[in-house]
Amino acid sequence: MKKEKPDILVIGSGAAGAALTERLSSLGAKVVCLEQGDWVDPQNYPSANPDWEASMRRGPWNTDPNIRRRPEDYPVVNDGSHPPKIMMFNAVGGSTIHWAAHFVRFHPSDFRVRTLDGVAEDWPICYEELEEYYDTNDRIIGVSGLSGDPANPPRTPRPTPPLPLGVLGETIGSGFNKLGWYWWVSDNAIISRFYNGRPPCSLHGKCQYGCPIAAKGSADVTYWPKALKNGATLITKARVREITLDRQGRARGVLYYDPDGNLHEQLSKVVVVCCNGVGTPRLLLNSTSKLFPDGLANFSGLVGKNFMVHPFRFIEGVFEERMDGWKGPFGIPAMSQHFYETDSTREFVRGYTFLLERSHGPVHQAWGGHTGNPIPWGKNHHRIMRERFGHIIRVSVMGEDLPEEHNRVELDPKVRDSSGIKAPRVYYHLSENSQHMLDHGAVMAKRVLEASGAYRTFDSGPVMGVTHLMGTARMGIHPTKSVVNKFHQAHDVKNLFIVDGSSFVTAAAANPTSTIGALALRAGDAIWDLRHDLV
Amino acid sequence: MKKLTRRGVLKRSLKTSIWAVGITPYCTTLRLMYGADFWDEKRYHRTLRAAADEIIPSVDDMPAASQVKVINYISLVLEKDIELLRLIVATLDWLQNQSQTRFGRDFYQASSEQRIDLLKVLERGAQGSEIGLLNRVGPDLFVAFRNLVYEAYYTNPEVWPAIGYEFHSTGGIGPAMKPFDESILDEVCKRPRYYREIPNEEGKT
Repeated sequence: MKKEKPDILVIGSGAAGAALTERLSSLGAKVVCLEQGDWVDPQNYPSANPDWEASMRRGPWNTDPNIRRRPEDYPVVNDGSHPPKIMMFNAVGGSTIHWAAHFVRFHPSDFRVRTLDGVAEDWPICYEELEEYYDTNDRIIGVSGLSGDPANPPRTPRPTPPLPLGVLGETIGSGFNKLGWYWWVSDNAIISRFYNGRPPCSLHGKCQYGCPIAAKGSADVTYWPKALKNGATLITKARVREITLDRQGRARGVLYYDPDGNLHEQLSKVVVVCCNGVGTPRLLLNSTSKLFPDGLANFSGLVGKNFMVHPFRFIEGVFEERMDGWKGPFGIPAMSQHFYETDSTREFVRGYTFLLERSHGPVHQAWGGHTGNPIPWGKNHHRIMRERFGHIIRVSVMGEDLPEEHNRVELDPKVRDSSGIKAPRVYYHLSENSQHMLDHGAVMAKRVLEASGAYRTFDSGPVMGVTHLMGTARMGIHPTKSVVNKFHQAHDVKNLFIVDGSSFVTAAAANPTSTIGALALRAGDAIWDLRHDLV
Repeated sequence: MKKLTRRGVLKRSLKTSIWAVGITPYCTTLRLMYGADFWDEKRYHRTLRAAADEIIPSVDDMPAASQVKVINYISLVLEKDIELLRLIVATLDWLQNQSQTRFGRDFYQASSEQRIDLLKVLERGAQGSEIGLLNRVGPDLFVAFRNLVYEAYYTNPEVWPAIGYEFHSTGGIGPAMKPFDESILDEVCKRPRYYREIPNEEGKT
């Protein structure tokens, strides 16, 4: 069944797809978005129930699609010497549904890593080109925070003031002050005041398990209402099998399955892929043709390669006093970028961010918290549980991963999703640079926790739970070294664009969602400006 | 923190008959899976209760697992999760068989020391802890069992006051927290710029 041909077809309704759809529809484009998941009903969020923590392990709210297995999920095969546990969510709003909403920006140096530090590559754009889009994205999403951080470029006043730090934030902040290290209250996509018809955060702390009051700025409650009001069309439960080409080698449209398994064709003048750093290469590699036997837009051979994550290491400090880390939004109260930039005296290049983080509830603590130290069973159980639960501050070391071609997303030869589409296989090896970086971070984290008053610390070691998926269809000037140009336009297919974390050239030591949104807004403007040249 | 008394918790627990609530459906499933001879409901629940109470025993003012309806909770979870049900039943069956072999008695009738000893064997994965029926190894099954007991225990609102936890449903009012006070950043504000500026083409930042 043929559908009316829109100007723009967007595949994926997450942070990038939502912003892009809203932007283009506001400019006057006819936009259709296909999303393999569906709207999430806030009534179904587990955060309303006493057994919400159980949803971390079992059932339809686990962040790992291999455990969750909703109809719209596809399996992800994890491989390599450090197999990553890929986390994502397939729904309207994408992974912003189970997002913690930490909303930091890249630094100017993140766009010039090759020039400055002799590793990775430079982006074809700079921080200044993205600045206005960061601001616009912040305003639409609704961000809480405070301008004036000397470790970041100046920025406009935040839409709402910072969320409460709590005893936890004040305690760790005092530790940083004692050491003379830089730290700041973090930007979060969680509003602290009424904003654009949405109520402020009620401080429940279950952000990753759904925010039914829409204080968290997930894409389904921020960009999507605006996009739909602009006249954009969103088709849910539409699983795209492949992007098709016309005889001139341009994107013709897509083939997708509806929930009953019927195959449909959606034509479009322009196709934009926004399926995240694993889903995007998967779709491109599944879209083979005579012209592109190795995957669509893959003359460079780089589709799927240079897969980057943020290597993590969690250090938990135990305090005599109550920190009550379960109180307050799970978005990061504060962060430190004291070790963000390259220091040639260290054993690694680039750096890391300390995320000064809250906790989940008692079940998660009993299971072992973030450092994998379960409360012992037996006669000492209660004593140790009382020592730890509510007495912990976690400092998460989030390192900047460097792009390496052997870290990659390919298609698994055997595993397929329920529609018969080949599943992605993700290979990952934690580099020596990252290992040194995390080792350094662990030592420094312990130091600041002890300066804050911790009497004991736990260390998770390197952690491969991965929700930041980047680099697999990166931007660049040269078609042999990149998949898309500075406007996210595929070098090899004029009317195909790729806009999501896969476009990233470097990972920074910053959560990617703010940058993904800013890039998507900028890409929307670029596509609109180029529209007459694309058809 | 409000203290729970063992007596108070026990009184409330005894009001609920675990035999009546949630047991039957998966008992039927297990009979269908394993056959009537394999399955003994009373023995299963006694084993489950005895094992759970060694995982979280009663100490001072804190109740044992079975005293806060952990068995109930586990029963309801296992109704919906056949895979987990198989693991838990196989684990309990191993404990029961080992208790008979080593001590000549049912697990629930063994002494606490004997029960703890068997649980430690399972946890360590020492020889004999392989669960032949499922071709699985002891430690991962022990972890699944332990975690389920923990989940059941700490999901019970009766326990929360004793550990200082307040659950706030996202449908209601959240915890009280002091508003952010900018003065905590006064020291940082005095410090110089700390990010790397990038020179433009003219060499100016």
